[in-house]
Amino acid sequence: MNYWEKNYEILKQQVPDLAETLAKTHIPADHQVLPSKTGLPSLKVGRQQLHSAYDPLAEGLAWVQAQDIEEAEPLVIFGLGLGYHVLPLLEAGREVWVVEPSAAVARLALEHQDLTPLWAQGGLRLGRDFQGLPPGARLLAHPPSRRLHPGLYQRLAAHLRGESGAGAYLRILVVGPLYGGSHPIARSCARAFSALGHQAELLDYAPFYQGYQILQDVTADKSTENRLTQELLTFLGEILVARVRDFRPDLVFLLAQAPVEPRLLRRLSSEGPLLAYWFVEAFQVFPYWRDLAPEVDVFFTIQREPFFRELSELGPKNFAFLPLAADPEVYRPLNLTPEEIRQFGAAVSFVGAGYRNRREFFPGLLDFDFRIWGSDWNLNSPLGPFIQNHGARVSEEEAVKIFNASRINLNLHSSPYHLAINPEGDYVNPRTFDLAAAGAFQLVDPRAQLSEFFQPEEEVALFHDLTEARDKIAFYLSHGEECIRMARQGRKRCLRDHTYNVRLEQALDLIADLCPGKLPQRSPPEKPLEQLRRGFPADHPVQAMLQPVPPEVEDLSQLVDTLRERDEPLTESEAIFWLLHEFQQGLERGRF
Amino acid sequence: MEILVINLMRLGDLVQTTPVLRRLRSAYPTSKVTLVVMDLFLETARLLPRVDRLLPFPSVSLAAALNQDGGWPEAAHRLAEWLAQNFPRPPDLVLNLTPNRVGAILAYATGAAEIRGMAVHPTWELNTSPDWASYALIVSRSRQANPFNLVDLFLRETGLTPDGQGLELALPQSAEREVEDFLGPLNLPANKALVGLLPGASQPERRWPPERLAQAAIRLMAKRPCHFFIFGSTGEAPLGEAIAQRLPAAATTLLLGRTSPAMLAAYLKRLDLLITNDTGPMHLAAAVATPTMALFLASARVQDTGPVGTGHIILEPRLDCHPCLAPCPRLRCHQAITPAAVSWWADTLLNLEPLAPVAEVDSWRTMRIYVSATDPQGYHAYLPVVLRPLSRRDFWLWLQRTVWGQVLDGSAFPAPPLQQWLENILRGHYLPRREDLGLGSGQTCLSELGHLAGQGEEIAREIANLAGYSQEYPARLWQKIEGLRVVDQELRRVGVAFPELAAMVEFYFQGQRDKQGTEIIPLARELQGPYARVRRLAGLALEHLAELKKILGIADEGDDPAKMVRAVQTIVANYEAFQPESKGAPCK
Repeated sequence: MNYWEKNYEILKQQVPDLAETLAKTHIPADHQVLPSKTGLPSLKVGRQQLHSAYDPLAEGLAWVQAQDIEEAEPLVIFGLGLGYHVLPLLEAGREVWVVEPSAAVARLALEHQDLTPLWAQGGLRLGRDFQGLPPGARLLAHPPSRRLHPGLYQRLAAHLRGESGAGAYLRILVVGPLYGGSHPIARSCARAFSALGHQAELLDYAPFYQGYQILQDVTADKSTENRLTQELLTFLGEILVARVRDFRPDLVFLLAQAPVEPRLLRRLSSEGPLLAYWFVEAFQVFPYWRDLAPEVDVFFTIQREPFFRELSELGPKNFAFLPLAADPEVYRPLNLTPEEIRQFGAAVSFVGAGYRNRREFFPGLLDFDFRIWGSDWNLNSPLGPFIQNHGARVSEEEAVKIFNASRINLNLHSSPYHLAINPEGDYVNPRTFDLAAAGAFQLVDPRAQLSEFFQPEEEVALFHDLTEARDKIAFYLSHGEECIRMARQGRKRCLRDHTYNVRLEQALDLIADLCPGKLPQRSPPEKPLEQLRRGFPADHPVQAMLQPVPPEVEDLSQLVDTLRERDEPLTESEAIFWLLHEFQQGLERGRF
Repeated sequence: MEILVINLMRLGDLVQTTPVLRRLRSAYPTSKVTLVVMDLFLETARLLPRVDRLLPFPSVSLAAALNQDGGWPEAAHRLAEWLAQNFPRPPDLVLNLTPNRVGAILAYATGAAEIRGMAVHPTWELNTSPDWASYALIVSRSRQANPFNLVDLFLRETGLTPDGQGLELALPQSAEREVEDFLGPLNLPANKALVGLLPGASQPERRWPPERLAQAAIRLMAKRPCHFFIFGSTGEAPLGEAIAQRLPAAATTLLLGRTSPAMLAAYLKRLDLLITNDTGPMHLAAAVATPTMALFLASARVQDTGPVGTGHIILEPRLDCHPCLAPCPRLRCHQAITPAAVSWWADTLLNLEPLAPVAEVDSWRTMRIYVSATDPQGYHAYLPVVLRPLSRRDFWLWLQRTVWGQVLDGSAFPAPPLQQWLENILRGHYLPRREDLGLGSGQTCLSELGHLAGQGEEIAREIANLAGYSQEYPARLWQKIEGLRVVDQELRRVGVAFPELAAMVEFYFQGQRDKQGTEIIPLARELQGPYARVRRLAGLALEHLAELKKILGIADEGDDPAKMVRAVQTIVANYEAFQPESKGAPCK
């Protein structure tokens, strides 16, 4: 029995959920277990060495001896690594709890060490799961793990101090593109940041899209068109600067295709906020990342190597992997009417643009009840009769109905360079997460990262070529209950691990890790009505006045409107707020 | 008795409050008077005499809290605390001079038993009391027809009467000494006139160009030896420098941004003359009895805010568009006032001779030129000092002056002495009439106004009589309400047809606004009063119109076709004599 089986056996009995998670954990390519000089395994994550490459055992012992630990006090260690620094404490019979940020690292530890005493003398927690940690325990940090995840370390320290552990309250401006795939992502990001308790706002450029389109038809002279487009982009940039000056964000979170260029990013940066850019595109297809990545504080990617190497060669050290996610407020199971099912449903559906590989692949599926939704398809092709709405763009609300109404949702990642499946495809597209969140059954082409997010054939079904696709379509069309089971599993996983709320919480931790101390540690503001009540004595007439005011009242004008609607004679307490509101309006008009 | 006076306005408005404070003392000698002012103008307010307690409204602190994200609850705490600290007991009487909701709600929030001026009603509507306060509010909307100065309106809307004593200041001796210390080393000879120049104003369009002010100063120096002191804020320094660089250095002292309100007042007191736009310092000068030569440009209107006291000279552009109603891109009024006229009238003021009306000079045709005065009741007035035929504009202003007082004050208004004074003005300050005074259409509109108001009053009475029967006669009630709606619509039409009467029409609608939120039958009962007042206004106006026509020797127009033909022939023959005020140069 190897270490993994031994550890897993006990863990399964004691903490079955954790055992299941670790069993399903995929080890990313940048997690390398290498032999040290003494022959014992050592671990390297990215470029961070988690243990000595010479003698990790001696290093672990030396670390334990260096800790000033009182007898019998429970210990919480941040960072498991391969456990060299934990084992001496377990051997000494100490109560030890370990919080390991990465499931992959924990899995590797369980593959390379006998950690069975840990389950008896304490326990292991993953990521932000601090449940059951002994209050007031002594916190010890494994230095390389802390270097990798300072944000999470701070969160754990706050938790052990009895503080809420919630991250600081931030003002975040999310900037999306004029149009395109990252526009709905931007909207979801703004919603998720708000749901995480921050003050988030979306700078929505979509209203300017029409103007941008009109410019394309103004003149046949290409250079004039380019100049006009450039001037529009400059104007949009000025809007962003103005918004930043007014909103004063701590963080500007930019999505791919946002209308920004290096000079504008430098101007934004000089206004004070931290700049993060989420490049939710394939770096091989869209090379503009080379201009932008060096100008922002954090550059998030949905791909790792060889993108990371190219970024490193370009200069920046501030990049991090941040995969896509789903917005469960939009992508959700729906109860559709028969009419909607007829309108949007099919045995097999595909939603997406007509990329080359899809145009080549789909003619092999035309004997099925197949519908293709989305733009950039050639209607004058064999696929023409299958293309819905003459190739119109599909809104999010339509997409979620199609996902719910279709028995099988085909998900073929785009590629301009391949005839069918991209054998080197790494990142997972948003549709994978959207379909999972919608509780829809999907048949997806294989991607290098896919198993990190969903368990193949358990949570999503895979096809590797046309033959397999056809076979599986035929199989699942006749095994509907299996589709339902897998879709449920996929949704459960997605809601747990792949919502924008989860993802952006990770993003903020990554920002804290990459730019330590740069984000303010501000407490969330008290609700205005609570602040008001706190400021007046319990017997003050204002307290009675505020009693029936609904809690969603946030600003002064809302409060005054609410008071005015009461249809009762104006009281002196009400007059205070009305007076203040009039004064505020005068200030806004520059009257005082 | 605790009396609270609220004036949350700027420098000039504060100085113009001094007659209220003086008359208040006289009416309530044993009272304790608190004056609330904006904290930003506290220093100016300290110069106001007869105040027992000066209370700064914490605008800076409130603005600081409101400007913070989510800072309004903190601002509310500060405001509530300020109110609780400063008004542990409601004042017995509040006089609110601030013509906006902030002043009105503050008056209400003190819990005072009686509020005069603008206030708010428990129904959250604006409320004005006494009637003069309603008048003050409506003329801020229908400015063309107002004959009363703000100082007098302050008095009347707070239930006080004018005494014609002008403005006053409690100037600290230390400021006067400091000014003497400054002037001493300048060794200015006694024959040199000390002249202040004030090129700034609250709005850029009210600023006469500094180059033209410099030209006027140079012309004045050619007439007599002068030394110029240039005043203003730090932000107005470029205006001062633009003047100074055109004048001999030895004849100029730049004081922009270097004077506190007290020092400014002390300097102004030492001057022989101040040449100024319509500004707060103009009122300060008037308060320390320094003659002013005031230029009223753009939206500034002499009848509203002219310098108070006797013997000040005011120049206004003689343009159809003055005072302007909307932002103007051309500012022709800046050109209408000429340096030659400013220097001539400045020299006349410095001569200290009585200011009697003089004959027209061709180069003055682009200006209206007034001297400040008071009428027999102590109200301020601005009399033309260049002899010209009575204009339609002036005629209706004089008419309004006689009518409003009688309506708003009722029998307390002593009409005869005013009538005599007005007769003297019309005979002594104007040439015989040549312009169409709009008497025919004015008379028609006044008759219509009286008739409509009478109708409204009658319908309102009938609706009130339906009390208790409205369920039984819903159709009749509806008909009556519809009838009132038509009357109100017609009243508005009259206001538009003859703008000189717009204030009278507005006066009814202000009365109606005061009653908003009331049920229809009690409302109808309440509206009888406003309709009756407008009916009386129209009736009195017709009476006075007849009297003024008699004084001017005018027979009824429009009755005799032969006379009309003759009038038209005269117009054609004397076209030059009949040109509008700004010939060939409509403003827009």
